[in-house]
Amino acid sequence: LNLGISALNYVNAIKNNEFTVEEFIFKSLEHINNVDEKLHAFLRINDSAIKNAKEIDAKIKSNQNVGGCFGMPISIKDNICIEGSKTTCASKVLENFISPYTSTVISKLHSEDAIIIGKTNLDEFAMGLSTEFSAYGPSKNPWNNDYVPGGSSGGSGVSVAANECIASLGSDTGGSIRNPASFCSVVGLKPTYGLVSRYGLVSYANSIEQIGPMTKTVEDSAFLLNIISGIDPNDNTTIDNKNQDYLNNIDAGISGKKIGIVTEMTNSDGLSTDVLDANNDAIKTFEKLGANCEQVSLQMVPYTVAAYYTITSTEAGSNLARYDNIRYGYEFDSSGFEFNSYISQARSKLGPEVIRRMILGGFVPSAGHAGKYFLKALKVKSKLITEINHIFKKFDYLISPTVPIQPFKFGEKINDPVSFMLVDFNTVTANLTGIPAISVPFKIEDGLPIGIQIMANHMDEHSLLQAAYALEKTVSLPEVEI
Amino acid sequence: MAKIGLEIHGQLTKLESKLFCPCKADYRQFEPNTNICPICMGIPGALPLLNRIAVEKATLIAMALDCKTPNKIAFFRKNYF
Repeated sequence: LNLGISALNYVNAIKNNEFTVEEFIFKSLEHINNVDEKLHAFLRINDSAIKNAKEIDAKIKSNQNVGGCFGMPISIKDNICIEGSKTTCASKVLENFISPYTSTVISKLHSEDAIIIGKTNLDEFAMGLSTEFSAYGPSKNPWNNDYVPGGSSGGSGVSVAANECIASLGSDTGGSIRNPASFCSVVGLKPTYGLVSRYGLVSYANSIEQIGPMTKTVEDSAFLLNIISGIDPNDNTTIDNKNQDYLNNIDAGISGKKIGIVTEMTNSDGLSTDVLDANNDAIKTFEKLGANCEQVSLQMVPYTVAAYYTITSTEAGSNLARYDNIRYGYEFDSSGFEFNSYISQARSKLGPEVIRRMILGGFVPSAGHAGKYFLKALKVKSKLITEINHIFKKFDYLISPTVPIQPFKFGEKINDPVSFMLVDFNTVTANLTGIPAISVPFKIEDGLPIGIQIMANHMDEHSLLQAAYALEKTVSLPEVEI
Repeated sequence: MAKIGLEIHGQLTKLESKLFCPCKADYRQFEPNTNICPICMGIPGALPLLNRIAVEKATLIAMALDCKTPNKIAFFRKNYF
């Protein structure tokens, strides 16, 4: 029984009676028990997992209809709500928050008989890219435990890379799926804004974030996207994708396709030479596969990180205003406080990065400053969208390294917020414009992973996954040793 | 030149459900906190769901007054300070 198998292979193995769901779940839990003390991918394990497995086994045995996941263990980032269980967002403020309802993506997974094996670690409220801002301690990169796993969906990336589960759902506001996918050497897809329902995802910057799959293979991401995508009456921003099958023709290849290499993402100051070399290798690979690659300039890219942090902080300021200790949070007696000191005390359990962004989010849209910061950021966003729309008239895909650098050591950047923010340089464009983007594992250099990012036009996930699949099939990477 | 804007409020009394969630809009005969759901309670992760009929009524007024009506509805939160 190989815990490292892909979702598609798991489904076949169950159908062929190679093992039972219960056996697989039992082994997965045993493995988590052995390795997670070290890796800390999980904040909580689902203690009904074995019971769920038995129920699905019983359905299989008695030839009842079984959902397409056949009991595969899937981990979920702890900012996605499941009724009756905790969703903490890795914050002390939501330490005891039990959601009274279930998010749409989880309902869809449940109806396909997936088993939610546990909730994974993240930077508090998904603000960060290393899990160092989790109030419950960081997750460790399985390739080298001295290095960060990326974030904010770091626990999800680790759980998939370390074979603690078959796949995971993360969320991506500025790279939070793709960054840990790149750092942990797994596949991570940020879908088109609106393709996947956000109902039940705790908002950080609601105008640009998306839930998406993190998986061992590109096909598995297509498999999960088939399940979680589509219009949702509970999310007004969702788009009808007509039940598109993203697995169909995934091996069509990319012969004759036009690929733009984003100049600004391949000559930035922060780009490491090893990562640039890997990107150049990827370009050669795409050309061997019959695609035409050429340089293309996106002139707004150098301004995107500043625009991103301005917009997301503003939205975070609004979205997190509710954590006031009145409706949820921890309890203390309000007597003896005047209003401001009460609010300040109520918010004192938020971590330093959340506080930084809430202060920023109070300042940049405020009277007298909005024109200088917030409105300018919206202009950058709008110009970037114009550029992207123009470019996709000529190109099928854009590529870049997912992250300009390889995983860094714990503590290396935590005291330098600007250098931290610049790690998002290549990922925020997809969020600001709403387009889909995927990170594909491409290389292991000095024992640490490098991922390549492919972007496509709005709602072109089908074609995006074909390109990602073609690239994936050319690389053969070592297994991580845990 | 001075620009003068008018903000005119009209109450929609015949809506079945609330403006931002599917809960019953009629509160008069109920105890407080009867018609509530994760959306109107602002539970983390819930998103506002705009009342379609309310939008249709507002659009009708806009059209009657020969206003420009956009194709897309966009939400902006107000920042008070």
